[in-house]
Amino acid sequence: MAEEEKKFEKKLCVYICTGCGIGDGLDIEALKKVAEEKKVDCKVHESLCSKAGVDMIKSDINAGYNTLVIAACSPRVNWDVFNFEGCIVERVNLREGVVWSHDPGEETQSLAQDYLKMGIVKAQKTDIPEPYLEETSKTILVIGGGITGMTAALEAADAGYDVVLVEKEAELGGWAAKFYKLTAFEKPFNRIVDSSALQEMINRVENHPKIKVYKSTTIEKISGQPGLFDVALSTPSGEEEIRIGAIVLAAGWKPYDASKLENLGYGKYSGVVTNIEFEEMAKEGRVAGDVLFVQCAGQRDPEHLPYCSSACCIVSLKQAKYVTEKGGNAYIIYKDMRTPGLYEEFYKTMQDDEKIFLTKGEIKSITENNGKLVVEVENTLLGETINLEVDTVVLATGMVSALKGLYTVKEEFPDEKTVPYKHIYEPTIIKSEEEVEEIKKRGHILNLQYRQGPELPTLRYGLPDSNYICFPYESRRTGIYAAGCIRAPMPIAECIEDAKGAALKAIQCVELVAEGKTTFPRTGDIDYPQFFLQRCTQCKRCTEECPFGALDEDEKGTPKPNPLRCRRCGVCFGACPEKIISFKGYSIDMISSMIREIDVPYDEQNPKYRIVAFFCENDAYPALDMAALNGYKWSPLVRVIPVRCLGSVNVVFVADALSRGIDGILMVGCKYGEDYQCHFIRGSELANRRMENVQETLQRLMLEPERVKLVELAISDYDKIPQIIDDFIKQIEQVGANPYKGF
Amino acid sequence: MDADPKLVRDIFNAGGKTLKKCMQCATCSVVCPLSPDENPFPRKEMIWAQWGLKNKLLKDRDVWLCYQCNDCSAYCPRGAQPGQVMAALRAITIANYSFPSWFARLFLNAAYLPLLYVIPIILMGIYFASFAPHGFALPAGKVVFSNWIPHEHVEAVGLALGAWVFFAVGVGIFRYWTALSSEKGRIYYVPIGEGEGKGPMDVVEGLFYAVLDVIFHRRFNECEESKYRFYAHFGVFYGFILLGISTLIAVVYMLQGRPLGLPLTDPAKIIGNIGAVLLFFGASWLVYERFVKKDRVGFGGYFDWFFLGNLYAVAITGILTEALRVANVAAAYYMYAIHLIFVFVLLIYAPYSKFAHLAYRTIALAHEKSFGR
Repeated sequence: MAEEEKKFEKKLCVYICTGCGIGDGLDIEALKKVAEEKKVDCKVHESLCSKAGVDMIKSDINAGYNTLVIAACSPRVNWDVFNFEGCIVERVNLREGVVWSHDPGEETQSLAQDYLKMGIVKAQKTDIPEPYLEETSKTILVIGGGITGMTAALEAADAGYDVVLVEKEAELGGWAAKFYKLTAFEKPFNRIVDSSALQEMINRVENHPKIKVYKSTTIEKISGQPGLFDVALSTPSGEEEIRIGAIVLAAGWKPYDASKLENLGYGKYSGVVTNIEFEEMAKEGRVAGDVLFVQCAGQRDPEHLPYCSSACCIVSLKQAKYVTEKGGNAYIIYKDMRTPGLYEEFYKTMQDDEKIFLTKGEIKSITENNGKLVVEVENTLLGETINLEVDTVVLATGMVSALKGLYTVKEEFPDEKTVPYKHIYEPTIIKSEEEVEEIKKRGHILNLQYRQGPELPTLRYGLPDSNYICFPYESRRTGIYAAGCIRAPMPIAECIEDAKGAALKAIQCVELVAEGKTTFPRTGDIDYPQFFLQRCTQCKRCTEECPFGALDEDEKGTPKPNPLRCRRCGVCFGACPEKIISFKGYSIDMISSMIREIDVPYDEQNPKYRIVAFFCENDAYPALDMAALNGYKWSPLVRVIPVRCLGSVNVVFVADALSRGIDGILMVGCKYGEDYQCHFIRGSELANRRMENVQETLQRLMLEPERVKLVELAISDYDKIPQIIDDFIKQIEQVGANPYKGF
Repeated sequence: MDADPKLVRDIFNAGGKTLKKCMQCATCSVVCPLSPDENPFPRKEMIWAQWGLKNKLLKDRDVWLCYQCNDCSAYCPRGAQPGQVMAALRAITIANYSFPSWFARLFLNAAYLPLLYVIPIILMGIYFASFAPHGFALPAGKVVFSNWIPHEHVEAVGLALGAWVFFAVGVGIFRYWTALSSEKGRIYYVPIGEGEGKGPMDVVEGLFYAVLDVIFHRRFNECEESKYRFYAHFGVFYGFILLGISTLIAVVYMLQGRPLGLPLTDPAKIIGNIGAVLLFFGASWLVYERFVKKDRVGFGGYFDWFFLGNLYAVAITGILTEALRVANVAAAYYMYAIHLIFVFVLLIYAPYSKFAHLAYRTIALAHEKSFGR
């Protein structure tokens, strides 16, 4: 293959489309001349995306052209039309990027010409990528044998994949198996069902020919990468090693520690129990008399769990039915009745029972009187403080992710000197190595042998960071998908939905990595970073900054890439001070060459400013297209270079541009921090951190710090783009022209 | 705090069967055109009803501030039909205070309906067997009702009924007034109608303005969703009053010794016929709307239908009786007997049926004007 690649001799042709207003807004002859000066063939067509246009390109390909620069519309449209197998295709955005967003004129013409030159050099610097191919496994490992895990296993197995299901307890079923009755798994959701539905699921899992069940088994450790995970299991009959393609993590939840709820009488009165204990009582037939349910016990409370566990209202409504079936009255005191999704039907049905009494309210006190519990409730909807005498008080305590409290990744446990990333909600500051060992003793679930840490990174409350904006099951560890209550507290029906989603993601993953392709968000990309390790200085920046923990390290600190863990964001190449990391289709040299193609006019009297703008291609660049589509106009002094992520902008680009006389650098990327929108989690935050290095560069060049600016932009804020650009140009005008112009 | 599931069941049966659907969003109180800004209804009544809080519900005069415009039911996102529940609560209130209470409870349960009609039928049988001049036999010749049942008998029974009704209703509203007066402390004072902003009135003044409210249907007129109820109720109300006036004139004629069986041109007859037409159309409209809007705002419960159905039957049988008499058909006598039974039922059960709302509402409004809510 490698030899074949060397034989790929580029034969380049530029195609200029004059449709959609391009021909009216620009001097096409002058554009053609640009190509000719570059000694590249050039053709003009009135509508390249039409059948005639595509046929023309195809016949050229047959005649031997293999590197095509299409100067027409944005690369975000017609990508399917201009997709030619075996060819390098580079798109120059003359439509949205030039004629739709700028009035015709000299500056607009030079903008188009710069873009064309940049496109040509980019095509020249692009190589055909080759996939990273290995003999991968398509077996899916499901961790956790509760409803979520069993559903994920069944879904994947029914789709034809081999599944290994690992459950730490002796029997399948998880929490649901410990309950007296359950709410419905599927519609109609207004029912309470007995455990036979669960038993049916367990039987199906245990008898499925594609599912191998390991009970009383835990994960010893996991190493490798998607498609090539080596999983060591600790089974009752000893250790076992298996090869796995992708992992669904459904390790579930643990109940909140009710001993912290003494203010609600727990531990003080024997009649005060948790909802879990009440299930046991119901199972043993010990439910009798009147029962009061305290919702959000230790939840939605900064002192305890700050969040809503989303299932407890449903559970209390179900348990209230246990009470009324035995002839007692059931009182439910809630903060807000929350029965998500179609479980609203369940709420409606339970409400109809005249022995179930509901009100919003706050528990003022719980005391004992003549063997009865007296609950004082204030701020009720009844308009006054009420006293209720009951036999049992049930505390609706919440769910805690199984990951909570475990040692997850190093960045969440920084030492005192490290500034934690902004997206980490509550970093645990570590004072010594021993402290880490102490935390690690709490146990582990995955025990990943990754440089960055043994578990899935979490975002807050110990819930794994699954960026729900894009895909709820995604994690920052490629090939590992969290589902069910480990990911977020949820009721049964949602666990089932979640499990299906995660199973599909796992299937997608094993199929993609088998072909050397990456997963979301650059799904299908085969181009992976190459490391020229001879020049590596072991600075460890790439291994630390990779958002996906794709890079491990040898003892010396040299990175050990795992291409199948890689999401191709380019954060590593943005980090590398030695510029030794590059993709076939995205490299330091390529971007630097593009910057060099920008024509920087020199006129001491009337300086013509030139700005380079790095736009993140996930949100900022589409926003630019949307702005153009909506008729917004901005200055033609700006040369936009799309980047995979702001995190892939290397300081050397800035230095190159400024030393060539470019007056300012604008970087536009996604929002970062706790509610980040960055598709690579912390790319834009890293770009911001690297501004320190940028300022060093500016100092070295004796330039003003105002010449570089970073802006966070949401895709919906496309209307703000002209303002952002205008503001920056004003800022540059105040600073004045770059003194390096003309050198 | 005694939450009482049995009372909840009673409210179900009295027509509030949707009450448990309420999720306390308070849309009802917001859309209600009659609810005051402070301590509004019917949101609070809904949860009291869900909890079966007898003490609260039976002393809540706000149920009488509701004229069942049904805006609440039309806008309720859960189909809890607060308008129906408020009507059921009024029924429960009447049943609770009426004298004797045990008898009043018969009106909350449809199972006793046959019994309630069997009583007057038996009484009428006894009358014909023992007191009627010709027994069961119909008199020959031109149809003259007094030949079959002398008017003196009808009027005597009527007076006796009236006395009973006044007594029983009087006991009921006395009990109600006493109960309402036991609860003053935390009440917001929101006078309505003419008294707006005037502060507490004395009881007579309060009663006066309450009667004005009732006779002009002032609050009714503010309804939106069921604006028709203003007109329909107006028709029934004044139709009934005109018929009463007509009856009184007839009594005067009788005392003067003038023969009854008046021609259609007689002033008493004209007033009576206008009243009959008003009553008929008003009642028809109320019946019709209940059928048409039953999904949107509810059909009404048994308590409601016992009164409305009976009233409608009185109007229809009354008109038919007159028509048959004018046509001089012997069947007129039977229709007359049926009509008398319906009238009897309407009057004798007035202290327990929805008919009593006239008294209870007036009293509640007066109390509210004098002592606040």
